[in-house]
Amino acid sequence: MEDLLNLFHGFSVILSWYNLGMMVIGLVLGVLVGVLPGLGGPNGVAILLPLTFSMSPTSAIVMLSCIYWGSLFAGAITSVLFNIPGESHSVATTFDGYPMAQQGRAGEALTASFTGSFFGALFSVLMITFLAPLVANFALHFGPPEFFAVYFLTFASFIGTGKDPFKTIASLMLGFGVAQIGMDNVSGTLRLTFGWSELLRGVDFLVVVIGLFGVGEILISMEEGLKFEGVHAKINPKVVWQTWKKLPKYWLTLLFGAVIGAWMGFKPGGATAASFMSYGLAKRISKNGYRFGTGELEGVLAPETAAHGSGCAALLPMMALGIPGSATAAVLLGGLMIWGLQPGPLLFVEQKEFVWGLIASMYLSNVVGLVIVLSSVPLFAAILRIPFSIIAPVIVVVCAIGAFTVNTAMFNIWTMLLFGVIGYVFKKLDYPLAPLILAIVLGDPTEVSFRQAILGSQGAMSIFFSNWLVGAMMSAGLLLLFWPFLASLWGKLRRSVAEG
Amino acid sequence: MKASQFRMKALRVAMLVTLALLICGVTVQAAEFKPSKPISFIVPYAPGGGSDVYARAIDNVIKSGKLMDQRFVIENKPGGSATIGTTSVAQSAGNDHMLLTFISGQVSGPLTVGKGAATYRDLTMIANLAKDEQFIVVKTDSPFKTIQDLVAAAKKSPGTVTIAGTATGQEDQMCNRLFEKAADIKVRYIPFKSGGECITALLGGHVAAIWANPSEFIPQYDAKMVRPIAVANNKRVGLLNTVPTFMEAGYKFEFDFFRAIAAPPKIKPEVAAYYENLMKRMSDSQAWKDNYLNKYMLSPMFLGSKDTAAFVAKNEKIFGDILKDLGLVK
Repeated sequence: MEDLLNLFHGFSVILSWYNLGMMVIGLVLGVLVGVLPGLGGPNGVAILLPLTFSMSPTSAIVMLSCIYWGSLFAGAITSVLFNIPGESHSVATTFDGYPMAQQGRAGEALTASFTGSFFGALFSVLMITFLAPLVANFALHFGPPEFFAVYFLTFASFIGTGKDPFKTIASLMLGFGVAQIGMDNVSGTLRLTFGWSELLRGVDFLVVVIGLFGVGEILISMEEGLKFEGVHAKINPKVVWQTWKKLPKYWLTLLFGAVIGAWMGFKPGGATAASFMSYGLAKRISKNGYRFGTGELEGVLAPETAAHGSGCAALLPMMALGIPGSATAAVLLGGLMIWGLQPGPLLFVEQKEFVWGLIASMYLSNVVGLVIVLSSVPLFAAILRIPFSIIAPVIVVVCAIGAFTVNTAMFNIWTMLLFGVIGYVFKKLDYPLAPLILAIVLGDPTEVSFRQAILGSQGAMSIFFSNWLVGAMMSAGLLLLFWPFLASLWGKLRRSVAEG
Repeated sequence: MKASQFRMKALRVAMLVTLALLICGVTVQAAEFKPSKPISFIVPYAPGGGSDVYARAIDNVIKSGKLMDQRFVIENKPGGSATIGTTSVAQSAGNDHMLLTFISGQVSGPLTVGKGAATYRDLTMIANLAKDEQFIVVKTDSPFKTIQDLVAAAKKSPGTVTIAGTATGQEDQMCNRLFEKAADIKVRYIPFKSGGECITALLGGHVAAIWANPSEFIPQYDAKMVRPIAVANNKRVGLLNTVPTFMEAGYKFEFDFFRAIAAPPKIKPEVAAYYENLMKRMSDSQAWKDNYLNKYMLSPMFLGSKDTAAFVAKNEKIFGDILKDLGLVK
């Protein structure tokens, strides 16, 4: 009850023309940041941080967090339209979002992705409002073995689903190889750099993605005769309403996505992992799972719900414990000190107005954000009408700028082009790209948490079954991994029983 | 004969005058070096990290105090334990409009990376501005009330006490190794990616203790969730003066986690002098104390260009020995 009172007080703080104006400005800037690949949430917020120095802390955090929400919403736009993820957490959105756009259903895909985002955000904000201390304490139970179990679960849910297990594994292994390049965090040694200083920083995941998807896609389109499949995209404002009518029957996917998002938000880089995990899981539980990758609405909903949910939940550890749950939250945390607030667990007690103002703004700004991005659907979908010969060079330039921006290095552009060619070859030979991306994104954190767990247990593998939480997740992962094998065994057993 | 002598003399005078003019010209210029365009301020770590905060604080203090006519453009070039950003500055020899944040990790980094990574010798040291303090922090309800308790536990069963820190081969692990040697114990060091991840692991009870700088644990300390039990400095530190030093507890070691400023190699002495002076004025200002040192709980430690180079050289020797001991440098 007290929480509700606090929340209403928060709303009274937020509802001023000035704060609402900051909210809209933040959201629009965030959409721009999100649309440009390479310029992600953390960079966007860091660049715009100085704008807020003269504002009151509450207005400042409202504007900055809105940039973050805006970028979370908009990361999906280029994923759907051009197969180029604007943000790392919208990679999984391309799997079904882009095929939908090619079938002329771009408006539907965008509406679903924005609505899913909104649902995930709402779920996380509700959780922050009512369960913050409880969730924060539960999340602290997650140590290295638990995190390894989570990643293991994700990999397991992906491996069993491919059409050709050999191709899936090959793609996965290549990804692990790429993920290893650079300095190893645990041993401090260099791996696969071949004495080349440019490779010290490793190959950034976003650069690979921009290459594989963006450049690779353009190469394919060129070969197919310089046309974009989505040219006949039907653009109709009614599409929003029609899509909404379909959504309730995907409640399970939405719910799972939201829970995964809220739960993974605690860990830096959680949004990207959450989106993959949610996609993998939806593929397993959905009746239409076998059609994923060909333009299923659920395949767009699942990752976006989890990604935005996780982005919002990342603010929970920041507020409850003073620990940033994501890179963007880390920049916001730095902002708190500049505005004269001491971040940390005492924030909830000492700065009630600020904290509840922020929570109230999360409700409001996600609603306003949804309206802004939804009203932009026809606008963005119209981009698909531009002839390929004009849009393709623009995409290549945007891709190159994006790759460069990731860590202002020319080398990234060459890497991007190389992966463009790899993406093209993969497509031609019908190798799946998803496992490759998954391994590049999660390979490093999986390895690190495995080794941290093993360091802690002095080499005993029993650490992965040392409590109910990690044990349950590992068992579920193993079950998923061997499911095809177990299923056929079960089938044989039944047949032999029936015959004998 | 006479005429030619006269001509020679005239020539000599002319040469002398030209030379004098040249020297004057140079000295006049020297006294008047001023940046003529914005200065790129390279931060070889990601936005939001300690070095990023440091660079932005310097930028703010200089800007608000109007200590310079030009402005800084902060560029984050993270990766490869800061070797990427550091090397890019080392390759900009003679660039008068570039500065770099330079911390102890950039001294140890090249030692483990080896060939090709720029060291302090490939840069011009401008000034050292501050020292970040290294604490061992435990959870409030930890059985380790003092650092002696932790040492006793580690002595009883070697290799079971877990201490987390940021990364491998950097400040936290080096400090940890010095502590092990001074106390003659063996603990289990577990590397995490950031200070935030370390404190999360500590609060969740996944490790017994962590190495952390004040800015990494003060929020949780204020909320009485964690408490520091020892600091690796030669004397107690500012607001945390109830925390004993390792020295006091009988473990003879200290560690310098310093924060300095460097510039590209081969810049003119007057350029280096200009920046050294700028940093001196900045570090003397009240705004620097209020908005950086006190806020993030660092100790002030100003050293000029020459002293910084000597200080860094001394530390490189120390770091090299520890890293060899850890098996990270051959």
